[in-house]
Amino acid sequence: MSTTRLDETARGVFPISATPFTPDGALDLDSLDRLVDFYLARRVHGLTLLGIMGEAPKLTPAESRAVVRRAVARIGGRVPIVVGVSNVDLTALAALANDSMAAGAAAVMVAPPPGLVGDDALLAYIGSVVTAIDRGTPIVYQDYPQSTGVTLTVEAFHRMVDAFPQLVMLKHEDAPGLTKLSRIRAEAAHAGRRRVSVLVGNNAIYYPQELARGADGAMTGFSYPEMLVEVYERFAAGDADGAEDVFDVYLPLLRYEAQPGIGLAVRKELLRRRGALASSAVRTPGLALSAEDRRELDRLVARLERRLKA
Amino acid sequence: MTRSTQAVAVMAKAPGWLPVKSRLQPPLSADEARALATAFLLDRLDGVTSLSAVAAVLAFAPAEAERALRALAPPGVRLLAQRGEGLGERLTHLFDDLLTEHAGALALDTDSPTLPMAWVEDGLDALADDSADVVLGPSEDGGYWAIGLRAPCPALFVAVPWSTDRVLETTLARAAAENLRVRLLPRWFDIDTEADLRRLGDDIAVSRRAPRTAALLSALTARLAAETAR
Repeated sequence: MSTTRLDETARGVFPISATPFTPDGALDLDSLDRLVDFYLARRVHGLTLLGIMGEAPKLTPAESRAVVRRAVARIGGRVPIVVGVSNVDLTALAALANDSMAAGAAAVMVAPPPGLVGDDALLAYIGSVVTAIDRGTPIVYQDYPQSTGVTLTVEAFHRMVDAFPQLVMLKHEDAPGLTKLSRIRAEAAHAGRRRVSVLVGNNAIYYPQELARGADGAMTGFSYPEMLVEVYERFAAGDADGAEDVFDVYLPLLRYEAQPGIGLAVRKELLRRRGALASSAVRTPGLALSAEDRRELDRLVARLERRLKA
Repeated sequence: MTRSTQAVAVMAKAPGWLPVKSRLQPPLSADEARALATAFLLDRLDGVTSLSAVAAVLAFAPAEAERALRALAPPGVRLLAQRGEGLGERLTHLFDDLLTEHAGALALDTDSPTLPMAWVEDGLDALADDSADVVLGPSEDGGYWAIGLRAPCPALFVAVPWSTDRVLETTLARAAAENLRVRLLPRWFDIDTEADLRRLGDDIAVSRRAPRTAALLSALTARLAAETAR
């Protein structure tokens, strides 16, 4: 398999892949092929499996391994794959990380377990992860305190970058996080520190501002990944206004998808409507769309399509 | 060309007639290896007969096993004895035979029971819509799990170092020399080691494919685990 490993130069859009299920809740690996094809056809720069949006905690270890292997096989080395391996059980984390890298993943993504307090505890935890997984495995640190309850201070992040050369990317989702992003970039540049890649999550709701503040792209599951790619490309080409114009067209739908709790069901329904999934089934526990939700979605999509044609 | 004119041939050694799964003995006994190979074959034949509008073929060896395999194979599967010495000759003859009657043909191994049949369909589609002359499904060990052709091409099978990790690269080089357009299907794995068996067990638990292999494998892995614990 492709042995390409992620490094600090990673740029662009690495969507968080949904995990397809059949209506009865079984893993649907044939749909995973369709989904991979869907993302690749939209010229994404990488793909992220088993993120929070990928319903990773709802999968058995065997299912997680199967998702990684199947996606690796389908992608065939065309883009790098990041695999979310976060787990309060360090042994389970290491097992999935090592298996994923052996299968051909490019990096693993780790969010800290809930309950860590203070920079030292966080640094020690990342140290234990680095020790537990195969040497040299590139790591993406997922900074998502809304979910983990663990705060990453800018100082702790700098220490982490210095201490762990394996840390090549930050998935930035803290909120409020814009000043944090600016500080990370400015202070690292001032100190001559290694510049790691920063991709933004949080449903890309602040994407244009984050790109302007030094982010390198996005790692989120918006059901129209072509928008994320186009905004990235326009911004990278120096057309910040054009990038923001494109973003604005999709903003109502993006905002609707960013609803806490039910956003995943919205996203899977849109992916189904776009032909990328056979079923929009979300595994329990998960929220389902009401008839009223669907009508709103119909209207939002119709408005989007009208604006895209204009 | 339409799919109704395509054939999918499963290439198999008849379990009990020729040695099968020898790299898995040990840990498996000869009987267990034979049972496993039989399960692989039957699950594969079920997969192929589930494809719509495709002629299902079992290309078998040795010729004397025909009666036994006839009893084993699901209805609707055409039995065709392999001819020739060595895999290269056998594949050459197989495609000669199939492509006189069918506008496209694909030969499949039996070494990967959870292989997604959707990928086989992708391969057939690539042949049918003329987007490829050769379809290859690479194996992780450097071989291939499938080869499909629209027209006979003996050059693809000449002087290939079979059973090495250079089968795919050699075949790709031959295809390039013949100016053939190649479509690569996703990479998949063969079952050659005990670790592969564990991976297969994982895969079956998740994909719910290969029911015969699944039933046998749970018994085999339980025995192997008990042995390791002893």
